[in-house]
Amino acid sequence: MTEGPPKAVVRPAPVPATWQAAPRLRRLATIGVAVFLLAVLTRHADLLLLGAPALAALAAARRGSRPETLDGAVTATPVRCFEGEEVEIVATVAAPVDEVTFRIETAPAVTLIAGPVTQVAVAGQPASARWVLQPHAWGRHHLCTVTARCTDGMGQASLTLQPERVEVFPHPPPARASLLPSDLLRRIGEHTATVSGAGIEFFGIRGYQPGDRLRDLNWAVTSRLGQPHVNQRAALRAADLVIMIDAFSDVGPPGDTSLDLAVRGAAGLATAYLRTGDRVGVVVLGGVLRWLAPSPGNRQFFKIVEMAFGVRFASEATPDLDRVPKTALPPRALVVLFSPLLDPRALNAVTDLRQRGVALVIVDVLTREPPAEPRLPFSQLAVRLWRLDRDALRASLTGLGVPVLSWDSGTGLEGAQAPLRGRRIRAVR
Amino acid sequence: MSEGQVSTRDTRTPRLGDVIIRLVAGCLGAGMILLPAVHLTGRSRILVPVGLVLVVVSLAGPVARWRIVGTLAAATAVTEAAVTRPDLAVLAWEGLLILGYLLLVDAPRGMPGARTAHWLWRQLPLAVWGVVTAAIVLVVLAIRVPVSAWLLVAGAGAAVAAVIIALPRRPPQPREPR
Repeated sequence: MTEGPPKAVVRPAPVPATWQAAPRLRRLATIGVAVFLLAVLTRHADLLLLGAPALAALAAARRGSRPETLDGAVTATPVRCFEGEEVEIVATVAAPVDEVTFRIETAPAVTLIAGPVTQVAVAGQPASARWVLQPHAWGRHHLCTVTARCTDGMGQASLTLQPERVEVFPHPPPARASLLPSDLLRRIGEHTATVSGAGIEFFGIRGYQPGDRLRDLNWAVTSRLGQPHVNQRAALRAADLVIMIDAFSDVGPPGDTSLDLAVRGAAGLATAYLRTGDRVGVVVLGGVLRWLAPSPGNRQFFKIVEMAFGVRFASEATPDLDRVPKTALPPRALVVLFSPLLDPRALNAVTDLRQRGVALVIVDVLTREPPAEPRLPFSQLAVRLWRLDRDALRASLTGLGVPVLSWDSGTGLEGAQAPLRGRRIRAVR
Repeated sequence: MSEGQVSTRDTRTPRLGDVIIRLVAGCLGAGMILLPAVHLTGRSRILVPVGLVLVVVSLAGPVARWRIVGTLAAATAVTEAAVTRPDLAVLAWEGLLILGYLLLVDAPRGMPGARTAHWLWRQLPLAVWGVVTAAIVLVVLAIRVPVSAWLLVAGAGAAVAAVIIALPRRPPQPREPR
């Protein structure tokens, strides 16, 4: 992002407070009353000495002002960041109380990296606490919940505060714009086409024709054959990439689910292709079918990511790719589908794409097997069968001419792309 | 969904002020358990290890957040004193140890040094009031009076007054329209 990190400005807002007896009051009162009863029941006034100090402390405690509302706020800065970046959380309570104890509870897949979980502010000092969090899961979510326990005299009130939602963009893994359809666009770009043109890569040698530049003469061939020959160079063309995200299935631990991985992969590929001047679009399968027509430029990256924020939406609807307009799924585009290949609706979409005749690559984002339960007798066997079934599915897709790449979250996309390096993806019907 | 994680930097390092407060509270707690223990006999000696365990558990460990543990430790000390019936001076010391323990066991955790000192300073008036009251009650009890029932009545009145003064009053809730 070229702009500086946006600052969250949140003024403390009045929150209704319900005052209750503080634990200290309960303790002192319990001991005082117990001692008094003991003294009465045993008829030994001496025992009053045990509880008298506690009762005196109870009586001497300041009653406090106990306002009906407490001004509290929590801010998160910045409100937009990438996964793994640091977000500062500052909680403030502006109320005339004796003591404020702040306690933070982080959301799933968020790490507290600086600041004690519990922080205390005593009267006479600004009641604020600061933490630094590190989100590990993309999305638009609350990173934490802060509980502020205000103690005034022997009364206590609790406030539950939440900062505004933070937009956490997926961290794009390293990727290269090396997956290309066999038929590139007629637009000038950075990819070497399979036709001659005005690029820089060597394409071939042919006989000299009037109009050819003299500096293209291949002197070695010309002198050997006795006829003038010139070098030809490959044309440089642009490509259209459409990234499809299968949001039907979402399996795995928070922050590392198959959908997390799919969106990260999509961000990585989009970054790589947009960097080379290509147009990138996105189609989200699952929930409500949504799409974004291919477009170049850095803005497109953020558009894609913001669209991905809404993919976690459970739905039983089957996507109808016919609804996707031609501008969103251009004929010569390369389609990369990130999918765990678990839901039959995603496989139906693959069939649909094949019928449309688009160049398709599937990136399998399922990195975990179903856990085998050692106590169950056929558990291991079931996992083996599941593994064989997946192998068969991948083999059948490959047999149909749809390459299936495996990608693990621990590595960049470059490694997953390696099997298709130098190959052009053909459209298969 | 799993819980968030806590790691690195200064999140797990116990602060010095925190440690000191826990140590002092532990000493006070051990003192209130051990002071009447010398007079314990027979099965009542079981109260000593029970009380010490409760004191330790109330200050450290996962159960420390259960506030009843500290109350139970103080109640154990009261029971010991009721069983042994030591001298008035010992009872007065015992009461002050119980008060000190109850004040410190509530200390919020994770305070830096300056805030710890500030927090302790704010507890001083309560401790002073406890000492003064213990001294007054000690003097009153040391002087033999023929009728002790009045003393009990006075004590009961003081307790009721203390509760009335200290207990917070909940503001009246507006009735919701039907």
